[in-house]
Amino acid sequence: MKIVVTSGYSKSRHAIALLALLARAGHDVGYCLNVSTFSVRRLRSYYRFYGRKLFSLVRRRMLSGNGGGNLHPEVRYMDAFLERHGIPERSVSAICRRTGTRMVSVGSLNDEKALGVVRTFQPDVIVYAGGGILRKPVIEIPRIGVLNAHGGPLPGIRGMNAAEWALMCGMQPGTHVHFIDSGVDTGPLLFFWPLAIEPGDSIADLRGKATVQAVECHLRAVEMLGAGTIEAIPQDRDDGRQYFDMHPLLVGILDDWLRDGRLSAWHKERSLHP
Amino acid sequence: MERTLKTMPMRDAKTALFWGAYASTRSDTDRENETNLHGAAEWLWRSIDVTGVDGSSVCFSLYRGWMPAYPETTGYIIPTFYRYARQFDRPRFAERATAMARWITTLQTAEGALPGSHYNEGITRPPSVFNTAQMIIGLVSAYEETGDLMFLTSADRAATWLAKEQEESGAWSRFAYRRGFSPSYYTRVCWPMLMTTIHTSNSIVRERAIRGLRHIAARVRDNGTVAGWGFADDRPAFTHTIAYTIRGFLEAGMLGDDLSEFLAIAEVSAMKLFRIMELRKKLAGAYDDQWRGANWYVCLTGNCQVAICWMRLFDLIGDVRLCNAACKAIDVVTARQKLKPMLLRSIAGAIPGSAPLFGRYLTFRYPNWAAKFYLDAIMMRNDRLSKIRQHPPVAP
Repeated sequence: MKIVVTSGYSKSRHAIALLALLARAGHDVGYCLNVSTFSVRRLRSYYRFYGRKLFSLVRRRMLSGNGGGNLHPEVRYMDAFLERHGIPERSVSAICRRTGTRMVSVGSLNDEKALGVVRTFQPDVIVYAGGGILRKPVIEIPRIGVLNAHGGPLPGIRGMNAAEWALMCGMQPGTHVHFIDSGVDTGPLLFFWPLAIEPGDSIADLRGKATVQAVECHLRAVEMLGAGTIEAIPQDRDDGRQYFDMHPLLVGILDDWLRDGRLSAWHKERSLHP
Repeated sequence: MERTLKTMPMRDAKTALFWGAYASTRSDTDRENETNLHGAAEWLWRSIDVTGVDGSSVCFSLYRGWMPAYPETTGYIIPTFYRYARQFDRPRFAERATAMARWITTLQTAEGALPGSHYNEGITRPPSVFNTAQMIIGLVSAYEETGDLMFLTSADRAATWLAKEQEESGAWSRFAYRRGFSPSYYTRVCWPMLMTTIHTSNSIVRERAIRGLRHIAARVRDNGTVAGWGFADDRPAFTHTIAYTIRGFLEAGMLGDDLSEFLAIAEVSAMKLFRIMELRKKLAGAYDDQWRGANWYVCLTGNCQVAICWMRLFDLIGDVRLCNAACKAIDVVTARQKLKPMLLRSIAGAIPGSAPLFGRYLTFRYPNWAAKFYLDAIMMRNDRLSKIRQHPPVAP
């Protein structure tokens, strides 16, 4: 399969794993579109949200070293996953060098540079591993489609922090692989892989596990599409709701539920675990 | 020590979002922002001390200092004080609320009307439709709290005056903030009228309140905006008056099965604001009839009021996303409250009208209703979060 992988930032473990394992599986991963962290657009949207506080946050992030990457909970899980698969690289550019994938830095996945790359390469699939919202011109180029691993059940939970919202709404968290269309998580569905909640898990742990699972689901989806063993099922756009980033107070409630075992017990009771 | 989420010094939600991770939150959400809450309550207490009567000063102005008492907002601060007193076991606030209600009854005219504008000793102010209704909220609350019929009688007389002053169309053109302009935020006149009828069963007042609501409902546009929901028809409406309008529809709609038509109207506008809040990460200070926002400032009291509307809507439809958005809207206000200001002690705990201070809504002033709605919003939020915590999650 001819594949393009997107990446939201230069140290995205998610993208590193995909680039390495897709190449290892013998796919032609021609390009990695890496969205530049310091694009004017991104900075402008951050500034709009944080105001002048942004400068102190950036300073703190720079002082923390490693780009602050080790602060992400999923990094622990992803690092373990990368080690398990013998992938020593910790930057997108390094893995691209090793696998022979051409890395192209873009300001946005929808800009002319990105469009030009995808049009020239004519991939079968774009594997989405972050980088912002995709617009119709990019979505329409790949022969099969753009794959996304969504962190919650569709069509019920669309949008951000889907694993958390699934838990909050009493639904099974997990990864739903689907094709991206112009809506928010409204594209045709491929399959759902449930995420098990274990005693002692925190929300940060679940996010970490979900990231690893997203990589595994992406790989599985590519294999199944290549073998022609799966068909996408269209969604009804009117089903489900769009969710947005969850406020820390609500995340705190979820964490308490996880700590006191209510969620795992509750999920077991409803046989939601695989 | 390895830096993990638990050890990371995250001061607020925004920091957490920036890192793409989460702050470790307090396990007891009942007590979240308690310092801010007490700060606002004590500031409101001081706003009454400075007037020399049992009314709360309309605002602290950076260029004029403490202003005179404002009967209108004193009225609706009363239920806030009762609730605060109960929730935090501070009976002095309940006693003061009752004293405030008594003070309001002394301002009532023989016809039952209550005055507009500020209170100045020896000056008789003309009656005001909107202000009378806001004081009814306090009077009904005082009656519910104390059982003293004097307050209910006073509320009923005020509501009867409102019913008498209403025109056939359902509008009130006289005794308005702007001469001849009957704004759509008068839904918040109809709601207190209905509130009174729960205790009095006054059918004329009830019928007129519903007529008023239907008159305003006819102004609702397809996109969820309501014509005339600002202080003037030709200018964008502050979120303050937008929330007044929505809340009026919401609360009225909750007071009877025959009034549920108004809930649907409130829901459309509230959900539109919800999407704006989530997509833009903030509410603008004011919106025009196409939802184009004045994004350079935030009307802080409007933020709290809209958050309250979302939480009331959450009570009805159980959509947790609304509570989530309310938490974010309240955070914007909390960030603007100074508990220990370096220069002016008078603004300790106060909430400014606008952020930045030179924003269009109550420029360089700290109104008492901003602190009131902030208190309400935090108490409501903590209450909703406690309920969410206690009850098992429910699928949408």
